[in-house]
Amino acid sequence: MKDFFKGKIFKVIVAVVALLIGIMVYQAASGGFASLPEAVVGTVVTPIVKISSGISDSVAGFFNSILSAKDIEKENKELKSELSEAYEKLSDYEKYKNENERLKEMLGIKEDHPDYKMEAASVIGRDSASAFGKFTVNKGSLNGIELNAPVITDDGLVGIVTHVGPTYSVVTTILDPEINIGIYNSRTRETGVVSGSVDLSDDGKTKLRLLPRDTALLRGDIIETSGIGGMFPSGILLGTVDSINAENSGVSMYAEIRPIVDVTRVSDVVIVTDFAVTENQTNESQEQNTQE
Amino acid sequence: MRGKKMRAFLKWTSYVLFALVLFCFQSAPERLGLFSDVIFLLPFVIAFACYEEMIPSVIMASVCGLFFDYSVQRIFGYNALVLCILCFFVSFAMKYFIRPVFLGVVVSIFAASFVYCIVDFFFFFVLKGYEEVGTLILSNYLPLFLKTGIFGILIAFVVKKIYDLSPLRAKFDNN
Repeated sequence: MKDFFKGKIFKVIVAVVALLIGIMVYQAASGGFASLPEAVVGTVVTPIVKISSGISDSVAGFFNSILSAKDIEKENKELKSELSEAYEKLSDYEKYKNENERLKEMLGIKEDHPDYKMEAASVIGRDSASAFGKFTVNKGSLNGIELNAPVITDDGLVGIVTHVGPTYSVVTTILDPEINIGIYNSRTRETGVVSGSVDLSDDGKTKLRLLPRDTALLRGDIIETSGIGGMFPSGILLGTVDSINAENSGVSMYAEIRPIVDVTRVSDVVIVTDFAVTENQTNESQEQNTQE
Repeated sequence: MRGKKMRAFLKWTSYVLFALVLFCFQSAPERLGLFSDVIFLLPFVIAFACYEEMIPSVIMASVCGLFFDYSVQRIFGYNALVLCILCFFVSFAMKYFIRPVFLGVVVSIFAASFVYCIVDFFFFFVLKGYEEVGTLILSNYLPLFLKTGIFGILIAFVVKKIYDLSPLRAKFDNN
């Protein structure tokens, strides 16, 4: 044993230890920067560590999925429950969003027509057998809806309530030949009556009948309700003139009117439960009578 | 002769590859909970020192220690020095006092693991003057010691099998 400490092996070991101590001292003095020995080792080790890290991630992931199966199952159930809640909230959000839009629409109408009393409603069903887009809304007599109440949107006229239940109402649209609407053209100051037409309903258009042969109506003219008769408020946009043609009899003309509102696609409407006959309307009626 | 050279080449290649695998496993960021807090290189170099000659043991310990230093980012050279000194003493003991039976190797691994934990605790916590460092003994160092020792048994077994490839397997028997 004594010879060992005098031998070559011990001297080599002492040299290795001294070298390692030297590396430590050099590293400590490097002030945070990688020393040369560390840089050399790092260059060799880094690629190995990168590869092993990728492999260990995969292997650990595989074993984790087995060992953590119960935790994963529990987390899955919790996430499903959260997702279900999120879907409910999303559904509520959509409902509130639609209601918000309806109310905004109502507000817009209210600002234009402060005399209106209105009830917002949503389309809950359509009569698939109807060629004229008849539909059902979710408000009825309990909400103050009455028969023949005008149905509008922020854009224009949609139709009229023709059937009232306690919590629902049926709306007949302006495409229906049963509906006759007194109209007015502000450019030509002409009045007339618009009603639905079977042959035009497929194109989503309605008909302005009994125009004089020398009518001043032009394509693109805006048609609005006149308020004559008291069934519809005045000034509600109905549509634009699409074309002017001669009747079969050749005595008078008719105009095809393209409604402002696509009544076959409308989803939210406003039912006017009460409105005042405006002075303007009365004056215009009087003026008409005077002219006649 | 060719057979002996082939066995020697196979043995040393196996040692190097096994050391690399242990290093990769030790330094991998994603490990299962059971395999965390284990120093895989320490039992390897101790078992290596038990079976092999002193100079190769010291060199292997130094190299593995430098790799270890790189992965833990402490003072570069610290782990190399500690492992080198531990391997020197183990190899010395195996050469002059103890026969390298498997039980002796396992005891050496546990002893080395214990000494490593003590030295590490002293230099990095006690000397730095941290407060309430005693809690680290149970929470950090005891699991480290036990896990390293237990995994060391398996590692020692593998090193023994690699050593059995050696053409000079009977050197201690002859001594």
